[in-house]
Amino acid sequence: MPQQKFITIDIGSAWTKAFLAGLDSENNISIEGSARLPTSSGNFSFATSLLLKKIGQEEAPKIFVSSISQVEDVAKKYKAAFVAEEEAATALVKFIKKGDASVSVLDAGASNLHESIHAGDVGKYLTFGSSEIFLENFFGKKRFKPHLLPIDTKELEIEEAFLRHVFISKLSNQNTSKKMLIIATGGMISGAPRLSRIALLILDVLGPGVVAQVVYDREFFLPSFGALLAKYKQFEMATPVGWLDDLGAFVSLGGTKRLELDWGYSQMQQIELEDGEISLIPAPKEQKIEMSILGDKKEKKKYSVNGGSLGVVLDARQKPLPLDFGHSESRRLMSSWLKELEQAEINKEAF
Amino acid sequence: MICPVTKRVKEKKKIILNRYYPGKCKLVVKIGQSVGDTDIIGHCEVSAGRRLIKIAHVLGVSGAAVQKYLTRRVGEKIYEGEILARRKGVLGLGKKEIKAPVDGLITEIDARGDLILQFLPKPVRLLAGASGKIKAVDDKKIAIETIATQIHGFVSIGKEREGIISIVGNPKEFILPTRITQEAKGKILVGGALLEKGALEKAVTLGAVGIITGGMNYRDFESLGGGEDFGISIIVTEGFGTAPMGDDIFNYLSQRQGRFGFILGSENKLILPDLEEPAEVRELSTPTQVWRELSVGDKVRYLRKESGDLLGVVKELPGEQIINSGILAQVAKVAFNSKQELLLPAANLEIIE
Repeated sequence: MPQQKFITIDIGSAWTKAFLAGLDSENNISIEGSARLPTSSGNFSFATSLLLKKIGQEEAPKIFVSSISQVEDVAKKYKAAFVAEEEAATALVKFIKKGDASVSVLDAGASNLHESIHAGDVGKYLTFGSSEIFLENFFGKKRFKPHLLPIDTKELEIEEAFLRHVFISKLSNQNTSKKMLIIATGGMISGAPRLSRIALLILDVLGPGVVAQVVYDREFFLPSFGALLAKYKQFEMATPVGWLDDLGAFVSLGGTKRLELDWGYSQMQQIELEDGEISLIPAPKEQKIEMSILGDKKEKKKYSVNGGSLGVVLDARQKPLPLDFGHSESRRLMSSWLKELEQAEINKEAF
Repeated sequence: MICPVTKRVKEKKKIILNRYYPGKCKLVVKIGQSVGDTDIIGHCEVSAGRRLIKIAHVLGVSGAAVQKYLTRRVGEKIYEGEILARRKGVLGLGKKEIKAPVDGLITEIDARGDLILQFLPKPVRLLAGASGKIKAVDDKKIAIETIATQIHGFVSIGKEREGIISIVGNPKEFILPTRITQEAKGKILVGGALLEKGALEKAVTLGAVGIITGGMNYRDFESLGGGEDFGISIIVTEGFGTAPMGDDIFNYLSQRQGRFGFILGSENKLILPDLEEPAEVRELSTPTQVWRELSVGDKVRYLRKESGDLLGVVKELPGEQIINSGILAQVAKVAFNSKQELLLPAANLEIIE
């Protein structure tokens, strides 16, 4: 079967993304071209037309995805199909769900800005001093101009801190008996400058005893892929290539714990983490590991996990994290965890 | 890269100004008639509203005993300043009196001793407020076609109100309560980089109808929401936090101090009708938001910086670069008025026309 091409337009409340997606004869789906612009609110067609011009491939079937109802009329204008974001998300979860693992999509998109925040709950994750009023004004402005980008690492940190707060409430009913599957996508996640920043963000939101396999959408293509899945049957068996990254297994121990890792060799690897320690064990995504977490009363919780670009990430910090807004110790802790993971990522790259 | 285009001061535009009736109204104009800004276009009666007066609580008596202290009965009228209830003390000590705060009709006294005073209708002369032609009349409003200047801000809140433009501070000043005086009544107060909460409360208390400020804290702005009218309309021109009011808006308004204007809190707009017939008139088409591609030479506003150089000119568009936050973004080199040149994410700019 020759390669099929599709154009997707994802109109979010902050940014509009256009992708040229190719599905080859082996059912691999890859991104052949992409472009993005701020969403031209009030005239969605303006950004859309410019993006379509940049992408080219006029004859390719087009599909729009959005949570904004007016986009359906824009899609008609371009003789394109329309998929509501919710429908795309359902199709996506169905595609990704394996076995009985629970799937959580952590979307860092601008729709989160409608969540109410208490500035202190966000500010406690910052490595620098700030005030509640400053943070409230920061997010107040973002609510009215959601496409604004963080211009320095402090602004990036504030946005990441906000995501921690939002994701914790999204993952409030975490099941520690089963492995979770987390799909991280959107905004500051897909555009993150380093994987270690995403890794720390996700570790911070996992409760004690949670084991999660984490998949990372490096292009913010997932809503578009969900729309393709909802509309075209041939994508149900597709393999994402180059844009969906398996980060690996994230294990939130919640304190000192002993682990046994069975790599399928003759010997079992035994690990004991000190309280507050974060450790990164390199393992490729094809590597299957049988992991046992040993409890105080010699009980064992067993999980089957896979590696990934970060391998197996073990976190022995107390959960919820011992952080308070305005405390210098909290700022010191956040800085040290970030540095620890950045260093681990650098070491892994060197390795 | 595309950016939103804003023209914050739109001068000499033909607009339709809607004059809503404040109550029951008898019109004295017809469609097609020309009117001047001080012409009366209707005689209205404002009677909306009532006030609850806690008689038992203030006098320190039980609800059941309130009747014997009242000077009027249910169904009777009372005028502002007249004694509504009186409790005589012993030998003149502990004497308490409650005066009617407004002209009204006593409609109810409940078991708790709370009295409801329905406001008496007050005659109000509805002025045109702008020179122009009556275009339409319906049961809620008169539409006047007029020439006016519109000023748009960053964000706004409140309903449509009218008042006299009054400058209360320079663009970089904090608007503190001391800046708000008795003269604020009926005024649209203009100025400042930050509207302090106490100043806002004082302005409401003293009867100011509107405030146009450079910045205000988001928590104060948010506290005004919730669908209720709080007695004042506000336009924040620059953003949340401390943000000096842009020269474009401040200079325009400071030259028009004392003029009559309309602040439309729900539409983020101030309307100042023109006093004289302008040489050139342009029809105003107001799409909600205009966008266009950013070009070298565009005058831009930087949307993030809290203070200082907000306005600049695009010098170069070097394409995608990793910015200081580590994110890959389209950037623009912008020269600010202070001669400083910065590489900024193009998405954070707004084109000024």
